[in-house]
Amino acid sequence: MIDVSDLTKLYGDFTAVDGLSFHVAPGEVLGLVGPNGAGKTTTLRSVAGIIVPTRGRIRVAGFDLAEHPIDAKRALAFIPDEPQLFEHLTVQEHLKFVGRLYGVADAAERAGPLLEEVELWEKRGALPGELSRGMRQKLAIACGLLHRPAALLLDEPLTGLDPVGIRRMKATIAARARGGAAVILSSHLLHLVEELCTRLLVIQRGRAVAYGAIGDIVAERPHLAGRALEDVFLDLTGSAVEPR
Amino acid sequence: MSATGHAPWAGGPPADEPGERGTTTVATATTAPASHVFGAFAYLTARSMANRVRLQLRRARNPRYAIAILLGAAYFYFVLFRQTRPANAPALLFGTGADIILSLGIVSLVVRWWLFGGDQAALAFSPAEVQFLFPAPVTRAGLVHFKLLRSQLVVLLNTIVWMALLRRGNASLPILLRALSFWVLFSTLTLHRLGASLARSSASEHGVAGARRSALPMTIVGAVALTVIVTLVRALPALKAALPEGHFIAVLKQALLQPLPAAVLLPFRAVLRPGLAATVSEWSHTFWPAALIAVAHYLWVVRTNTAFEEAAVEASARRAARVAALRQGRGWAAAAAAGAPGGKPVARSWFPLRPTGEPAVAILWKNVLAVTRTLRWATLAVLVASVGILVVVVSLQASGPRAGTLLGTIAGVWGALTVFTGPLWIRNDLRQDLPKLALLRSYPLRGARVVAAQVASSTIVLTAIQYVLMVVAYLALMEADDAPLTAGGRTFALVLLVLALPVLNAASLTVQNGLALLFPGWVRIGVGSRAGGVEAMGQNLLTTVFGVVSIGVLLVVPGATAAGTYLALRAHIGDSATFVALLVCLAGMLGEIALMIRWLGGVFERTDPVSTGEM
Repeated sequence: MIDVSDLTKLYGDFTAVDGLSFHVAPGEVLGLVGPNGAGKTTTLRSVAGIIVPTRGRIRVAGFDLAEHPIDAKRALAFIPDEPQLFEHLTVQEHLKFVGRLYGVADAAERAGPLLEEVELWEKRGALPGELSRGMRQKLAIACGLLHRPAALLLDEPLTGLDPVGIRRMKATIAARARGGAAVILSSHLLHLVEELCTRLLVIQRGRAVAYGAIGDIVAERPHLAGRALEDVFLDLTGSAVEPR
Repeated sequence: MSATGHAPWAGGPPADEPGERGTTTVATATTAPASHVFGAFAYLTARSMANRVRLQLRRARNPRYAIAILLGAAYFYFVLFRQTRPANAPALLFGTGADIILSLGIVSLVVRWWLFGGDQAALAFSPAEVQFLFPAPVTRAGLVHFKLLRSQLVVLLNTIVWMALLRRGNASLPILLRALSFWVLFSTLTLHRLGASLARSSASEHGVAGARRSALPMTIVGAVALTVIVTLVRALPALKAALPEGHFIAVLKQALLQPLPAAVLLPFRAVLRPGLAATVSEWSHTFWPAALIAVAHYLWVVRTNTAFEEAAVEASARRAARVAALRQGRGWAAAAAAGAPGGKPVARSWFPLRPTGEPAVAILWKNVLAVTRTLRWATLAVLVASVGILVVVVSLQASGPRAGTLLGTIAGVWGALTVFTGPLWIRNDLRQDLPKLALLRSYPLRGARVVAAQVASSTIVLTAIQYVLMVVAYLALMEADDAPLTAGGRTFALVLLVLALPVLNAASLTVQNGLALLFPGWVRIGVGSRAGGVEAMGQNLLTTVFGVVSIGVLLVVPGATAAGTYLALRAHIGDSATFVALLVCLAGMLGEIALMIRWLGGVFERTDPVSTGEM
């Protein structure tokens, strides 16, 4: 569903992403983890068609992103860590707007249940300026889910959500994966990654340092056996620190 | 060097500071001494300013910013230091009693601050200031002092600019005394603005009690405004007669020096007079009243702090929402949404959007809806009422023009002005949305369609405004026998404008959107990217010049084709050739616009959000 090969992104002399290759099958949730500045967001934005890679090939739902960007984008949804909303559109109008962009004929029918799912039905007439950070995040998620994306790219999706919201969001992500969506989940919340992801891609300085099922990654490193994912992550990225 | 190899921060905490070296102690909450507070504020202000300059200098390594800075610096140099106007021009201000005329300007500022408000910036703190200063052990008076300290930067800058502008005044007053006078003047104005904002906020926050407290100053300001307006209206015939003879200023002075307006304007003149004094003797007589007024303002503001914190937090929240909205390209609606406790009722979506069809229409729908939701109806009403009053008052004069002629002329001139200024004012397009480039790029739309929808959004709004003005002008001039052009000529002009304005607007707005896309560093695409001072001036100059030149270039081929068409057809179809030539010109421009949008669409698809400052 999502095929990435040799993805490279340069900013002048700086290499943000360096030859990443990975695949996410339908129903699979890939955890994208790495330290700050590792290139996670650049990777997600490249896959979302927001930035043009310097090198490499990306295919989404069978469409080459460079050759058929519109078809590829129609199949995916990107939900950024900082919700991007239009301040003069109400909650419901955001869904109407996105529905037209993606040509969702039954947008009006889908909007209600979706707003119920993210607990925004009561706020359907509110402008984003009247919403809390978590509600804004929920609205961005609802907008991303309206057109039933085959590929879902989530960048720190739980930021700002309350415990109930977090539980619901985890259920939503899992449900989309069960429904056949290919999901890439970038997060620093390793327990979330451990809970939801079927496979893991750990990157550092733009390069993959580990890729595969969590069990396989640990199996390749016997000294990490029985350790928590946090320890695995710190070991893989060489960021282990001694407690002071 | 510290043990970690890092240099300790300059002026770091003293060795006995609680919490040093890993110890954790709980400090007793006490109000910080005034000297500490002032020191912290001064440090914050000085470092912020120094870092801002450093950032701008670093940005200057990028050619597009360097060019803007050089142009801005050249502009300021020529305006301030290479004036070509007669050397004695400023002398007209010194020792000539010009204060009575200039006091009208101050009256208008004060009336605006008190009666119309809209000056929350006087109270606003940045989100970081709210986060650090409000929970800190600092008194409200301390916060007011911080605002005053910050405002001194602008006051000092204004003083320097005015000293440079007036330096050739041939007056014998030492420059330092004049600078001191202007500093007092600008400080008084700043204090008054802050005080008015506090009083208005207090009135809105504390209901009847607040309104009662603000009633007296508002009544006084209202009375001052009424006195000035009545005086000016009564003097209109004399002023009109004096205009062709060059006695306008003398007659205006005479009118304002009548006992009642003179008494009302006395405090306004008092703050102006030392700055306009020609001699030390005159200055010494006039400075102390101005200084006393400034001190009284200071005491008033420092004591009027009851509503400060709430008002400042509210104003800061509004500003933060506005800044965030603009940084993210969310438009100007954030202020309206954040500004109303509990939320303002949202204007209904009057423009239906079906779920299927051309996707780019959704962008058009969003942008046009934004305009209707951000339109300041109250301001518009005040504007229309002001024009109405002006038309009625002037037309009541026996020798004045007829109401219809005046109204038609105002609407026509206004409409004509919008052809040039409209594309800079109406910005519900890519200039608003560009900071949200990542979101736009994630949509399943070709770049050209996004650009076309964005350009169409502002074109529709600008053209609608112009159509309203043109129709008002046409109807108002219908019965006017003293109007320019015959009735037939006016109808023909109206038809031509109806056809030409959308195309002309689309061309101008395509250029403006193209500038934003190609040179995001030169165009204001949000508060976050907006540089101040010299650089901003240079950017404005560049974009304005580039915009005008581009339109000129765009008109060359269609204009030449239209001229050829006219010459070829004139002998055969007479005056109708003008109409055909216009159509040919417009068709040519439409073709150019289509080509530009197609090209800009490609640029949109290749533009990295990093270059627009989004990431």
